[in-house]
This record gives sequence, structure tokens and C-alpha cells, in this order.
Amino acid sequence: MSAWPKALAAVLLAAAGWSCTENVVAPGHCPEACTAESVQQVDTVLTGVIASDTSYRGYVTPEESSFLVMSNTPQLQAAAIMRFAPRPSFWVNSVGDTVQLNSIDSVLFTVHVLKRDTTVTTSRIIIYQVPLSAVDTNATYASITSYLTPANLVDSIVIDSVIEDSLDGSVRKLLPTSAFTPDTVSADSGRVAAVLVVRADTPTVMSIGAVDISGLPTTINWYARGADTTQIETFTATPEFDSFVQTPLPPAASPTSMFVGGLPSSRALIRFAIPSYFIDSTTIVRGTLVMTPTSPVVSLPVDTFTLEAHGVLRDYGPKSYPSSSAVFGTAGRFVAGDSGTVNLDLTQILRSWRGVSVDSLPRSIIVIVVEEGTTLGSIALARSGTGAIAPVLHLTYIKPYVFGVP
Amino acid sequence: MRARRAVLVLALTLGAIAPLAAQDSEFSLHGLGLVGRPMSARAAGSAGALALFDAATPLNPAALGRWQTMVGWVVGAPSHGSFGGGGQSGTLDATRFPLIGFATRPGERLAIGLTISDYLDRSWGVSQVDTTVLRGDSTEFTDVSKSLGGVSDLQAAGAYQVSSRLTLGLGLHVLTGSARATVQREYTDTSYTNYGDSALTDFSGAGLSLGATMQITRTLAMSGMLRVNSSLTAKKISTGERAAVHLPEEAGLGLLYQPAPGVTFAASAQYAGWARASDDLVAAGQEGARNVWSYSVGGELAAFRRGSGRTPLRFGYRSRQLPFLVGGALVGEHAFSLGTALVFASARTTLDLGVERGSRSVGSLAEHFTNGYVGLTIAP
Repeated sequence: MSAWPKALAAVLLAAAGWSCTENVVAPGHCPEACTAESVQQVDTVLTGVIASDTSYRGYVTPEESSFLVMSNTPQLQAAAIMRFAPRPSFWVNSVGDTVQLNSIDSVLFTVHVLKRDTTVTTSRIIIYQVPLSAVDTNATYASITSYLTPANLVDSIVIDSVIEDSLDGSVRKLLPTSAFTPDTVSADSGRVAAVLVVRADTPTVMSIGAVDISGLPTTINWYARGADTTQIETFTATPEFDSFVQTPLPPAASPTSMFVGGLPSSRALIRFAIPSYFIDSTTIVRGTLVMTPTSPVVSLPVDTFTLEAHGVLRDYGPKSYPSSSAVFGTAGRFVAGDSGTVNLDLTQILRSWRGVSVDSLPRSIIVIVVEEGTTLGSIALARSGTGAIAPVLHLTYIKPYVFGVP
Repeated sequence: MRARRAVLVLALTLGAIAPLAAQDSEFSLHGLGLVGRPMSARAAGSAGALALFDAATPLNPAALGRWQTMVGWVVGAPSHGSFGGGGQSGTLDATRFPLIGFATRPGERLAIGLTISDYLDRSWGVSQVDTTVLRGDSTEFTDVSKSLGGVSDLQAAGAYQVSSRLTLGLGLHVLTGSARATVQREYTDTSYTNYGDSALTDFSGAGLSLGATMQITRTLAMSGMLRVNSSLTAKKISTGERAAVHLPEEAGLGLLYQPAPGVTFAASAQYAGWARASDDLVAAGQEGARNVWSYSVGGELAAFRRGSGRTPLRFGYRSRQLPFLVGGALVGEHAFSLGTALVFASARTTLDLGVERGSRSVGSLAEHFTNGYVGLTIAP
């Protein structure tokens, strides 16, 4: 093969490679080297675009949450309640013989402190043993307090500045051997129930692990011995039911406020009546629902939470079906006492409504706390019809671009 | 056998079709775009001076008569340019295939051909960085407006050799193409979602060209062409919105002088009456257009011996006006060019190479460009 065909092949290959490149964009020098058309951007605040808004309560209940709250603050009185699984009255030893429980050497009570006010160093968890009938889903703070008597007092655990007995935040306390002796008479033989409250020199609040989700439930260990004193066994019980009771209960929606968060958790449902021009004709580059709290944020100390808005796929009121989390808007993090304006980013949700009829995709959103069920944080927001503090929609949008013809 | 070869050549040439356009220019955003210069690599090497005599260049249908056999050709044109003005600058790079053709001789005196070439280039892009105050904060954004596409000229032409000195040609032109315009705004503040929109516009039109080549003396030849066009209809696909722009009458005249074998000098001038389009463009919100002229001079020398033949050296200079006004003035374009050719396979394959370096300017805006031309001609 001579050199020329090789050169020809090289030239063609180089040309083929070069044909993939393209860069036709240069800096504009207006007006001579700019297009006649330009991007028209508008920033505006829309009022009166909310057709209805309210909030519903009960999505996650205290017995479903991952933590239990104890509090003695003026704003919140709360106590943890729990009913433990049955303690057996015998065991089978290593050679297969049945050994009857004869005596208890010791009782170990373990709680896992999740969050507390670290500025309060005199906190104590007071442990009460209460009748089984006192602890169920119908329990209220008022019904529980009647059992907080010296007769039911078991012991207390001091929570000082260094609380943890292990890395998971567990705190252990050896109780009197008579503590949490199960009722062996009633039908619920082998079970015990407890109420935990927190006390300190100053009002404080604390959360401990629950049997749900957290994996850090309260535990009772009984170190048992048989009639043959060489036979020993450890019985461990975790709650088969735990919850917390509180007063006051998280508020329901009022004519002026809607609530998000708390336990039982609340969600806000907001239905929009935005002129279709903004949704269907413009391109929204930023849409923010600006809301005003009607009272400071309620939350546990050192606890933060985030608000999130989801578009609604089907509007069934409190049972509305939210869209996937791929299209949602968020607001910043909140801590107890926050009272600033809430800016909820709805850009992606507003854009998802473009070109879709209201019948197919309701122009509604559900506002939730992201950490729903794992935080006590809640926020009260002004509803529409509250004048100057009513929610408004702050839109930044691009007007329809007019491409010239030709 | 001849028919099979014809089909093969046609398939090879049309199979290489890519989006047709000339070199990309920032001046493409004005009026209907950058007016194309559908040149073969040979004609481009002489700055277009040989274009009216060049069989592969679809300007003068009579020039088709110069093909003596069935042939197909394609031209690739990489380009590189820089753009500046108002303290801003940028670079432009693109590679296009501005000309594809096929021709054959069904009779002793008749040659026919089909070419696809660029007529209007609407590939351009403009980027602007600016700031705006949004929600009390200064927010930076970048706007990018782009257009990709253009209008191609499909020509079916025939050339008839009236006598040994005179050949006449007729070309029927169909103008077709599309351009997708896009606009984007990107914010540096990620709280704002970037914006983008696009629109596709289809173009259609037609034209008729007449041409002649005449050997005046043994050393002097003359070539001329006339072309009339319909209006160019633009239709925005998304809305159906239409607009029509009158296209120009065009005329061209060229002289070719061969004082000795292997020595050719040529000059040409062309006119395009784009002022017809002015009212239509103004009605569409653009600046108007004016009638424009273009000139070129150049030559071809059989300079270098290679084997039993000689390798030509082509050269030229050209000047033209772009018809669409920029700030009320016409854009001037000037370029020098060089070219050569390599012949293979007993002259059945020719590789033409050309390069031109030039500039376009108006007011404080200037664009410098280097265009390459690679032409492959196959006569099976």
C-alpha cells in the first residue's frame, strides 16, 4: 500500500472525528449581536390563591412513635406508659429439666435516653409500677396521674451530665428485688406495667426509646433462682405496648390556624386556585408559599425538624394520596421557639401541574413534618382569611418566550 | 451495469448526508441567517473565482456539462472562528457537510445532476451573563440563545452542450430545512430552577436557475447565471404560525483565462437582490436587508509534479456583503484562500483540499474565521 492511500485514509478519519465537534455559542454584544427577543422574568406575590386550607390530626399516634416523651414544663405535661411482656414462672435448664422460679436475686431496669435538655443537670426519671388496667390506648394524662402515688413508687434514676452507661444512651438501675413482681392472680399473669415521669429542679423535658422503630425500648431484667439455688436464669421483658400521655393534647385546626407535626401528628392540606396563566403559560423558576406562624414552634430541646410539601395525587381530604417524594418542596429546619416566616419551596410541585388538568392532578399540597413520628416538633400556621398573615404565593416566573418567525 | 453504478454512486453520496450548513457565524442570528456559499473544495480553494465554471459547484447549472462521466462528490467543511466586540470574545467551532452531489451523462450532449447544498445557515448561539435583583438579593444568571439548522437547496439540474463553445443549463431548486431555536436561563443561585424553551421552524421555498458557459476564445471563457426564487415560507411547528419572506433574484458573471496549459486565472461577480426581503423582515421585527454584491479573483496552477500528473495549487481572494443589516449597516466579509488536489485510482477519485482565512465585521463587531474544505469526488 503506497503512502497516498494511507494519507487519504488518515485525512478522512480526522475529518470524521472533527465532525463530532460543535461550539456555536459566543458572548453576546447587545444590541448588535443579540436576538431581538429576550427572556422576560417577573417576580410577584400572589394573594388569595388558596381555595381552602386546613389540617388533620392522627397520622402517627404516640403509641406508634419511636420515642416516648416525659415532660413537666408549663407548656407540656407528659408521662411515658408501658406494659411489659409476661415474665415466665419457670424455665428449662441445660439438661432439659423444668425449674420453677423460686426467688429473684435482683431486678435491672434499663431506659434509653434519646433527647433531653442538657442544661438541666438535676433530672430524674421517676419509676412507678401501676396496674395493668391503667396502661392502654385509652389512658390520658389525667388518668395516669392518679396512679403516681408513693404506694406505686418503685425508684428513680438520676440523669446527670454524663448519663450514658453505654454508647447507645442506655441508663441502668438496679431495683429492689420486690420491684415489678408480676400479678400472678389475674388473667394477665406475668405482666407488669410502668409509668415514667421526669422531675428536676427546673421544668424539663426528655425522650426515651420506644419499642417501635427505635430498637431501644425500656427493658426489665429479672435475675431468678430456683429452689435448687444452683439453678439461675435471667428473664428479660420489653414492652408489648408503650406510649405517652400528655396535656394539653396537640391542638386541632382552628379557624385561624392549621397545624403540622406533633404527636398525634398533624398534616395540612392546602388547595390552590392559581390562575392557569401562571401554571400553564409561564415557566415558574421559583415558587414559594410564604406562611406565618401563629405561635412559636413547639419541639423537644435539641430537636429540629423540617417541613415538606407533597403534591396530591388524589384529593380525599384527610386521606388524600400524596405524590411520590420525587416531587416535593421543603422549608428550612425549625427548632423550639422559632417564630419567623416559613418559606416553603413549591417550585417543582407547581411545575408538575403544568399542562395537566385539575381533574387529573389536583392543585393541592399536603404539608408534613419530614421526621413525622420521630419528633414532637409542631408548628401552627396562619390560614387563609387571616388578613395580613394569610399565606401568599411568591412566584418568580418567565413569561412565554416568543420565538420569532422567521 | 451503468444504472447499477449510478445507483451505487447516488447511494454513496446521499448516504453521507448530514445536516447541511455552512460555517457557523454569530452574524447568522440576523435576518434569515448567514447566506450560504455552496462551493466545492476546488472552487473554495480559489475563493470562488472558479465557482461559475466548476461542475461540482451548484451555482451555474451549465457548468454540469463539464462532467464527462458519472460522478458523485461530497464536501466536508470544518471551521474555526473567533468572535469579539464590546469587550467580549469567544470561539466558534463546527464541522458541516455543505455540499453533496451526483451527476451523470445520459446523452452525449446532456449532463444531469442532483445536488444538496446549504442556502441559509441558521446555526448560532449567544451567551450573556447578567444580574438581576430578585427577592432583595442580586442574582446572577446566564442567558443562552441558540439556533441549530438551516435551509438547504436541493437542485435538479441539466446542462446541454449546444455547441463546442456554448453550454446552457437549467436548474430547479427546492428549498427545505428547519431550525430549532432554544433559549435557556441558568441561575447561579440554585434556589431558582433553570429555564429553557425551544421552537422548531420549518422552511420551504423554490427557485429556478439558468446558466451558460461560453468559450469565447481558446484562452478565454465566460460563464453566467440567473436565478429567481419564490418566497421562503417559515412555519413554526408548535403554533402553526407562518411568515413569508421574499427571496432575491440572483445573477452572476465569471471570466476564466487560461494563458497556458495548467495556468488558469478567474474572476467573478455576483449580485443578490435581497432588498426584496427587507419589508418582510421588518414586519417580523428584524432589521431590513439590502442588495449585495460579492467578488472573487483567483487561479489554479498545475504547480507540482506528482507521478505522471501535476498537483494543482489554487489561490484566491474574495469579498462579499452579507445582506442582513446589523445596526443599520451591512456586514463585510473578506477571505484569502489556498487549495490543492490529490488524484487517485487512475483519476477516478479526487481529494480536493482547501482552506480560507477571513473576517467579517461591522462597526465594533468582528469575527475571524478559518474554514477548511475537504472534497471527495468519485467517478466509478
